[in-house]
Amino acid sequence: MQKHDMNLTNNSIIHADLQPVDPPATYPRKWQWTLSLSVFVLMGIISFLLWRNYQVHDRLQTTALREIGEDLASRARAVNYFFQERANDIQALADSHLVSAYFVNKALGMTDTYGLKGSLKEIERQFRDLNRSTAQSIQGDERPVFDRLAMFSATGQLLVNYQVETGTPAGPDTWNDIEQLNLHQQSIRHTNYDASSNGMIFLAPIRHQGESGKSVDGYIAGWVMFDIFYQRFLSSTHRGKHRQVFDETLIYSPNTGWHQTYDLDALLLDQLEQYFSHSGIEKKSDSLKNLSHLATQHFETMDFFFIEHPSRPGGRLFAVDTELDKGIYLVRIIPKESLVDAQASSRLLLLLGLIVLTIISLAVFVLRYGTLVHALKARLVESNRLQAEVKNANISLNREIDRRKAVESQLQENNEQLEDRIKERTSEIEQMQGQLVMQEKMAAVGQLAAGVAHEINNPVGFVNSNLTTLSDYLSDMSHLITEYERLAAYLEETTQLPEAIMAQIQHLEEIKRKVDIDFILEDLSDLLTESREGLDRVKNIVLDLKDFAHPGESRKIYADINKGLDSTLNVAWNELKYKVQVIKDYGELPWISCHADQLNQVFMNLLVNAAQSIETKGEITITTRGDDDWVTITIKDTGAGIPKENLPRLFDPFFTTKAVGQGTGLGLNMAYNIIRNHDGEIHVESVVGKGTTFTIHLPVDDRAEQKTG
Amino acid sequence: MKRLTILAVFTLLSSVIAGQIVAADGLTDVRQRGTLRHLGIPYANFVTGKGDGLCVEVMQGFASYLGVEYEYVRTNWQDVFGDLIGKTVYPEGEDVSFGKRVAIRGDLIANGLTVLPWREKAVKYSTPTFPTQVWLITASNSGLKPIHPSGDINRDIAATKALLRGRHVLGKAGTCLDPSLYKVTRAGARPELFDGNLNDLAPAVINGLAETAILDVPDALVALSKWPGRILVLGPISPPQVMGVGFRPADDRLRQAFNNYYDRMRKDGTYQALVRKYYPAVFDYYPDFFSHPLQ
Repeated sequence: MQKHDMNLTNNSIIHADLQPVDPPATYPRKWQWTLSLSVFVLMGIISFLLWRNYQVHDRLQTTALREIGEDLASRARAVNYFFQERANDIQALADSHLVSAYFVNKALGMTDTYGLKGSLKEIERQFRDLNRSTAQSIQGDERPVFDRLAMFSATGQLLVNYQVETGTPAGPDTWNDIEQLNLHQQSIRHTNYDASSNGMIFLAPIRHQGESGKSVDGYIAGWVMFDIFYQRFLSSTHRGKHRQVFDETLIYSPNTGWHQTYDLDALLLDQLEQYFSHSGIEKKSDSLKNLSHLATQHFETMDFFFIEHPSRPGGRLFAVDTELDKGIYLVRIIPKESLVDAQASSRLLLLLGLIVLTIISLAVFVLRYGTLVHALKARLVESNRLQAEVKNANISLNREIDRRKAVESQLQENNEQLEDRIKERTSEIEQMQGQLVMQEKMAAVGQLAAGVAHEINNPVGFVNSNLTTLSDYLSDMSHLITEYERLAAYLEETTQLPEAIMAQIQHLEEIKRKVDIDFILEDLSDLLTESREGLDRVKNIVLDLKDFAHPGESRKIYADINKGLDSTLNVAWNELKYKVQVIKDYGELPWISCHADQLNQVFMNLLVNAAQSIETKGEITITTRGDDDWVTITIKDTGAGIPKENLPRLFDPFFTTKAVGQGTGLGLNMAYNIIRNHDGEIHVESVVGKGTTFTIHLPVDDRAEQKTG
Repeated sequence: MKRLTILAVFTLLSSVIAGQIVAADGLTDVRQRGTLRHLGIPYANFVTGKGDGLCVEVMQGFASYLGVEYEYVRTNWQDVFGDLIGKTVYPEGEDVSFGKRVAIRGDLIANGLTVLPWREKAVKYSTPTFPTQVWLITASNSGLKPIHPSGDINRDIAATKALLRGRHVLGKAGTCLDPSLYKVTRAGARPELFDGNLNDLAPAVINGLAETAILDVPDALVALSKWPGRILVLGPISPPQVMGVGFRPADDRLRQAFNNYYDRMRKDGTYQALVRKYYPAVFDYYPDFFSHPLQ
């Protein structure tokens, strides 16, 4: 029935899962309005952000240009300062005492051989000291500022030449056209000296008050390579800060050309050359034009212009510092896209447009499929509900399964108990069957014994009677024979008898000797006596059999236990007589109400077991005691004894230590049950090697009858 | 017996003399003492008087080479030879006379000591260590004109001496700048001996204390750098000379030890570096001295 219920539960779960979902509710119109409003608000915010982005971008452009200009101006000032410092260095050398003394002494007629060589050496040392001091003054870079320092005479003859070992320029020994520089009116000039020198020369004239007045006696020249500029001014850390904005800075000298840290294509260079050659390049109209104009207004010493180039999309903005009027220009090249990032706004606009489009699409999608979502939600709720039901059903099912498991377990336990009881009953039945078989056997034995006794009693009676008669006959014949013998002896002694008689008498004597009539007569009496005793024994045996079996007695009778013991001894005597000495210690016992045949069977079992436990010779002591209430029978043997571990199981059915076929294991169990049926008790004590004692207590009165009576 | 007595006395005297010779071994003394005593006088850039100078650094290296401590013993031009050999020395032309005994204060003289004939009679020089020459100088405003080098040193010397006729020339007695050494009187010059230090000769000329003065090349180079445009080198008074380190005549082992050390410095360039430090121009004037191997 429970199994059937479980199936019903499962069916109900499946059925619930397949139930159709309720149709989705209509999507809330209010929510649609809210969503639409949110989209418009969002678009407004995005538009505002876009507008602000334009503003910021515009400011950034202006700021970037200002920053470019300021940076370039700052660099230009630094370069100017550097130029001025180097010019001062050269001028200081030209004005130094050593240099002037050289020319003074030379003018006085002192020669190189005697004195002026030393002066030139001192001047060279001064050059070295200058380079060392200027190198030390530049932080972090020990490279001398001047790659070469030289002193030329007014005619261009090289007098002192100090060149740094790592310096690049190969100095000329003479400078023939140095006078053409016309430095008389200027304190410093830079010019080119070699197309491949890639540097600048600082020149300072040496003047002294000679006899002819203040004239130029020579020149001090210092070479500074452009890479010094780059290292100190153009490739500074400032560049990294604006890496995203600025490109590169170039330095331009009309005589030496461009010096840059990367290559520009030829067309751009041509355009720049045109610019510096003042042939003019058209500042193309562009979105940057206004910015260029704005930057130019902010920086009067600078010029901003824009060049587009096919190979450089987006063009370049050039910021040129024109303050350096010494033939040096600083040019900053700023890629349009990296400076003003004109495409940034459009990209942002495009991005924002995509975002708006995405949001609108999303909104439409949400509105379009809102109902479906709602239905899905309802479906989800229904699904959740079904899941809950399924969960509850599963819980119930689990509980049912648990309950059924418990019932099943109980059933199993009951089955096991039932099986145990069946086994127990079976054992009892088997035991009872055994007992019945034994009782039947005993009954049969009793009936048989009674029958045998009855059948034997008749022949035994007439045999006994015949033996008595035969004994009387024998006495008569013996008397007759005695008389015959007396006659024969007389005849032989008294008369001469004929030979025939004498032969007859002799013949008789011969027969007498042959048969040994004397022995016959003597033994015949014994035979009769023994036969009579045998018959008595047969008669007793038959009586004992009748007493042992008590055939036909199904109810209790009052019996003498001592007599029952003797009867049992007689029946079992054949088992006992060869190795057992039976010692009887019978007390005076009251007769007890019992099934005598069953008790005799108990005694039989105990006596036979006792005899079997004795291997060769032993004793069995039977003691009986009694009082008004109880009779106690003790059967003690001197046999092998029973191991202690077997004692608890001794009365269990079918427990036997005998060989297979020699014992059924029912004897003591049946004895135990018989005694218990008589409301008595049976105990056993045993010591292995010494013997076993069975003690039986039997009530004198039938307690069952007393209870019922 | 008499022969034996004479032999014994001779042997004893020989032993004493030999012992004195051994005791006079400067190298042994230096090592036993553990100190090399450097006799010096502040002069040009050889001994600046400020604890450095070409000769100071060379002697410091020599002391280290010997494994002894360096000790600078300041002296003066008058006593410097007596401080070395233990008796005063009086130059007499190219000869000398010895005076009273004085205490020996040093083991060698290293002071830009020009090799002069009379000095060689008092001390023994090491291998030449520095080139020099004696020039005639004057103040830039003296009106004297330097000679034009002829390429012949003797002609140049004669031309220079010709400038001295009737003029005072300032020198320093007992030094390489002693006017008597260069026979200027034969040229009609009026020698004057300066009481001050050698380093003060050029300022004396600049300040008008003398019309001219004689300076050796190292000192002249220093003066030219110190007072550029204030002095003029008129021309040479002497042929090229050399300088060296002075030792006691008996200190052959010490002198030889220095020569070995100097030779090593020349070969490994240490010495040239020191010269370039204190006299950079000397390489231009005497390129052969430093480029050629030692004689």
